[in-house]
This record gives sequence, C-alpha cells and structure tokens, in this order.
Amino acid sequence: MATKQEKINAILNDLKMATADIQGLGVISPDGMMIADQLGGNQGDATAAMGAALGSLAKRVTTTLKVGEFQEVNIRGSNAGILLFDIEGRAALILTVSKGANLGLVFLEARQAQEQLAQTI
Amino acid sequence: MTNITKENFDKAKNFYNFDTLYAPVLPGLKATVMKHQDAITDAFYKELANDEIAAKIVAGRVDQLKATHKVWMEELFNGEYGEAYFNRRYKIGETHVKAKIAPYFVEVITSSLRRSFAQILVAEGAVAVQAALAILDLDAMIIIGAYHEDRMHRMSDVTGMNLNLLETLMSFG
Repeated sequence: MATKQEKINAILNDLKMATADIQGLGVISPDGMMIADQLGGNQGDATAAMGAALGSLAKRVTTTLKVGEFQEVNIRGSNAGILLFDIEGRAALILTVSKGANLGLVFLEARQAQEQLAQTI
Repeated sequence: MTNITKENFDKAKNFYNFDTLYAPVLPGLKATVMKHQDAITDAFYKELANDEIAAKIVAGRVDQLKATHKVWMEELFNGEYGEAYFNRRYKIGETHVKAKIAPYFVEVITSSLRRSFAQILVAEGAVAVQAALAILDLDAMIIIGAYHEDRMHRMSDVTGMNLNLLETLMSFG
C-alpha cells in the first residue's frame, strides 16, 4: 500500500507530465515547509516559504474583502508565471509555468490535482 | 506569549553566568538600593512628566504607579530569578504594550535607572554594580521581548501568516 508521501509524489508526477508548460511544482505547508516537490535546482526552501506567504496573504485578502473562500493565485512575471492553489487550508500546490503557457490546460490539470491532493493530505 | 523571550532570558542568564555570579549578590544590595528608592522613583516620574506623551499616559495615577514601581524595584533584589520571576516581568511588559507605552520609554528609563544604581552602589564595589546592571538588563530584555512578540502577533494577524512562517521568511533576509 502506497504511503501518503508516495501518493502525493504520484499526483505531482501526473501533473508534471500533463503539459510541458509546467516547469516546476510542489506541495507546501502553511508553515512554509516543502511537503513534496519537483522544482529542480536549490529553490525549494524559498519557494515553500514564499508560496506559503502568498497563500496566507491571499486568504487574508479574500476574507477581508469578503470575496469568499480563497482558492487560487495567478502571478505573471516577465519570464514565467506562478500559480498557487489552496488545499483546504492544510497545504497549497504551487506551480511555475513557462511564459506564454496554455493556462487553460494548466488550470484544468492543476485543479484536478488540487482535488486529489485534498483527498490525500 | 511564544517561547522566544523566555529562551532569550535563559540564554542571556547563561551567557553571563548570572545565576552564579550575580543572583547571590543582589539580595545583599536591596537595603542600600531601597534607601534611595523614593528618590529614584521620584526622579523617574519627574523625567516622565517632562515628556508630553508620557505625561498623558501617567496622568492621574502617578501615586499608584509609584507604588507599583517600588514593588518592581524590590523584586529586582529578591534573589529568585526563575520561571515565576520571568512570568511576572513578562506580564509587566504586556501591560506596557496594552497601555501603548512606546518601547523608547522603557529604554530611556532603564538607562536612567542604570545610572542611578551605579551611583548608589559604586561604594559597594564593582560586582555590586555589575549585578544590579545585569538584572536591569534582563528586565529590559523581557519587557522589550513583550513588545517584539506583540508586533509579531499583530503582523501575523494582519498578513494571515503564522509565526513559524514569519520567522522562516525573515531567515531569508
């Protein structure tokens, strides 16, 4: 029987394979710790901390401005994009996507992974 | 309260070997210091009265605050500087925070007390002065710690980021 870690890794593998527009991805805790990632390089700690900060702030903004539950954040940089998906307040899924990515497909796949992660974590 | 201020208090005591070098000396200084307590406290509140903001904070309750200050000063020389001491001092810090007394006042008043204690105790020798300054520094550390923790909690409330995350983020600075 697969461990929770293996299940999370499998979900991330499937998501990474879904489209070449996803450059890196990870699952992070609200404390800013990396739970699992396929980011490459040595940006894991910073990505986890910044991603958790982004999620916390986004949640605070959605609550303060009364726009409902926080679901996702989309940041567009000049070279690439960052997407963050809430996993029921217990974790978040963070993706880096290439410039000019097919965001329709990326969102479709990422939201599916978001649901799977919510059932797993 | 998080553990940060308590950890710093314990580390500081260990750093300058407070429990061995200075804690045993302090009760022996109590009588000398308390002989001057009224004068020190009066000078303390006279300085506060000269500041517009501080004067407003203490207005109408100077006598009550002077009595509290006397108890605080006595406790500096009680010889017990463990958990209970820390908790009482931390509560004083929290009271300062709630009263919105700027930490600047804690720092300048501690500085003033350091000078008064040094002057009173100089005849008792170097260790006496060092012991009195050491406990004043520990007290200031606890009170300033309460301000720091309050700011961290408010930052956490405003941003939605938990305290662990805030500490992690600051480690990237």
